[in-house]
Amino acid sequence: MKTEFIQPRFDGARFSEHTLPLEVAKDLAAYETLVVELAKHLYLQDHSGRQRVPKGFDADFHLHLEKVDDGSARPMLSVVAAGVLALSTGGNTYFEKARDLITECVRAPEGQLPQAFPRNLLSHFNQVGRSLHEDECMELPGADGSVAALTPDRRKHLVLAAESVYEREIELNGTIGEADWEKSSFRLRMADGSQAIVPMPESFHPQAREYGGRSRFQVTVKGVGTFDSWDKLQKVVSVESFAIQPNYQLSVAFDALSELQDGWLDGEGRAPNKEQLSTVAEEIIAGYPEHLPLPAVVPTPEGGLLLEWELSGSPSIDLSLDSFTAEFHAFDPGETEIEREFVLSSAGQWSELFAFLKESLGETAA
Amino acid sequence: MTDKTVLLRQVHPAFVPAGQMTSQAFMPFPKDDEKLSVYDGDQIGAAESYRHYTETLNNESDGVWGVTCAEVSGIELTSQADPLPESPAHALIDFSGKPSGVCRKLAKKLKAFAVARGCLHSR
Repeated sequence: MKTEFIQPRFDGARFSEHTLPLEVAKDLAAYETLVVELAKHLYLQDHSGRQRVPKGFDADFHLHLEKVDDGSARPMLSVVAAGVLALSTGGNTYFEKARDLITECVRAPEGQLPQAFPRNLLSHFNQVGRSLHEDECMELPGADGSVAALTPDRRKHLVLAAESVYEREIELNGTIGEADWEKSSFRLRMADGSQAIVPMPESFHPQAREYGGRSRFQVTVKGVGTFDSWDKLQKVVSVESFAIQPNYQLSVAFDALSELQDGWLDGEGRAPNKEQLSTVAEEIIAGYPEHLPLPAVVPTPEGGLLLEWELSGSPSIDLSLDSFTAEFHAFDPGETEIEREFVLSSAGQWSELFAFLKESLGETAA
Repeated sequence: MTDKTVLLRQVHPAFVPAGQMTSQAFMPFPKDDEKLSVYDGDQIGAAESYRHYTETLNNESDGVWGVTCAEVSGIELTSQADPLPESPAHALIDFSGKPSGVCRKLAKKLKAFAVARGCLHSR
């Protein structure tokens, strides 16, 4: 048997095609859990003599995503049950009563949450609506035709009405500081000077060993963190994924160069060819020697690149993306100059360039 | 202009990544016929030249850096006034006839003079 239960409306750019991103399914699953927990609470309130709900209370309550209607995206959630949900109160099942109370709670003005909604269940809003972005909301239709809008900010305030912190999804970038193998965590050092302790699975231990303490390797941590009411990160609660980016400072520089358009220099200036730039970026990011100082990488008006180091002798490379040639130049202390030209059309030739830089810049940097 | 005249160069943001000045700031643009555009510092101050360049001419500048005419001639380049209707204080540092590799070396030397003097105005 199938019965329509609720049809929330998701609003925001991601939903403009009337589709539902898969990650939003987590929010809907969390909504189902909240409905069940609240229904149990309401049942026990009506049956004060009972310590627990009857066996099988929620066995027949399963929300299914039946369809997604237009405007922007409106998933229809239906109850699919083997039989009729027998436990009811005043014509509505406890689940329907819970549904309406959740909507009422979301819609309530600041500081005026419905008395019937237990404070200990507000923490469920850590999960319900967590995938929503800043410009998005999940609208819940009320029994009286009104609508309650669950936004990231509303979600935060609902949780903070009962807790000192709330959870939200995080994406943190930084380098790996020291690791604590016993607690299976590491210290993430971020560019703004802040730090966070990040739990890690055992499968990440080899990478933490390899990249720990190496400032050229950036790790991106995606997961869930807790924040206080000032939105300051308090703790990394869980991690979904790690990604390691070698020579990330160079990667950032090449990303910026790839955004240039023709005319970037006050109406003049050829943008670097994207395909050629990508090839050069891959070679340099993968092969640039770890212990050498990083160069500034800037575009030239002719569509090439200049790599220049802040080192004695002002070493630089003029790199032509058209011919894949590199002209190295540096002033030598003895009035002479070091000049060398490289053709960079094979992996071996790139290795030759890096070996040359290690030799010549390594001495300069020492 | 005299040997002591400071020639003011507007530096495009792309040539100062993360605040690190590069010699590209002192390379003449291809469109400028191997001549580097500057302002005559005897006629206009650094801040005023920045406003003229960014607001009147509507170009981008991260800041203003300077080299003297003596420093320019000391590396065998020449400088000259080149007033334009829209920019009366316009002047040039002439790289004419120099191959690109030589231009790079000279640009590095100009950069070194400018960095030693420090940024004269920043946005």
